[in-house]
Amino acid sequence: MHIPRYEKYPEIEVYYQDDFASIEDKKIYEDYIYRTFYQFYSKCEIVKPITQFSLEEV
Amino acid sequence: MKTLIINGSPKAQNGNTEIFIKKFINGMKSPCEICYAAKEDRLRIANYMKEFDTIIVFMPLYVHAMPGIVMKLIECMEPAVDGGKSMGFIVQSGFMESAQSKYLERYLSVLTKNLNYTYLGTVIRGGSAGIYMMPEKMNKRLFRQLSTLGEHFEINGTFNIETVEELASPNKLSKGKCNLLQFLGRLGLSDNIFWNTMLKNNNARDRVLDKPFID
Repeated sequence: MHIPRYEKYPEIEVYYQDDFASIEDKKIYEDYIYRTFYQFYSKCEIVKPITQFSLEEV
Repeated sequence: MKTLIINGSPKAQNGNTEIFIKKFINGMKSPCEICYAAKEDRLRIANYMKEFDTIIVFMPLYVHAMPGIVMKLIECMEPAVDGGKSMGFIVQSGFMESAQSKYLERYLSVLTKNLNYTYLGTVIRGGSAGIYMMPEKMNKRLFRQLSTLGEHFEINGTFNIETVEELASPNKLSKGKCNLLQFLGRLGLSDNIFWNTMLKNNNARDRVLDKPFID
């Protein structure tokens, strides 16, 4: 991981266009997103298809 | 077997990836042709790939992923019409642990199958930052391994598993090794020497922990 330079980092939610050809492709993408935000100290617990995005949560 | 090597580094001939390629083909009797993703038209390269049986892409790791120019090139590729085509990858990274490249490796494996190529594997070598700045003798072992890899590939069309394993070591650092490296870092004896030189040469030594998003 890089050395943190900020006191706090944003919490992230990622909603993506779900047009993956296979479950394996989707899993690789999600794992990559989780790992990348971990690398930069952001909390990212939600990585979901855009169809699961709820306006009520906003 | 006709093989094309792709240099996927945005630095083209001026970085570690080029050194990896030169040492790899150094072990061959008939060195492969090389294309540069950073310098040539990606549609032309993608079309040109069709004339070859095997493609080997060399690239640096950029935060668990491939450089954007490699992604763009791959997006221009069409699935192989006939079987019998192969694709392999050689990834070098600044991270010491090869496990840091596993996210990319998983993607490359699936991608190759989706393109109807046979997957030759991904050779991973961590701890490669600053190789281009070091004297040749400091990397004698690595260069010998890369030449062995190239020599074996030319004869067999595969990556030699023993050499692949040697290059990929360490996969993950032990807790003890991490503590030792942290200790050496505090004494100024780690690879920070190379990073600090680079920062100094770019007048960025005092700005290493700047906060551009709030300053």
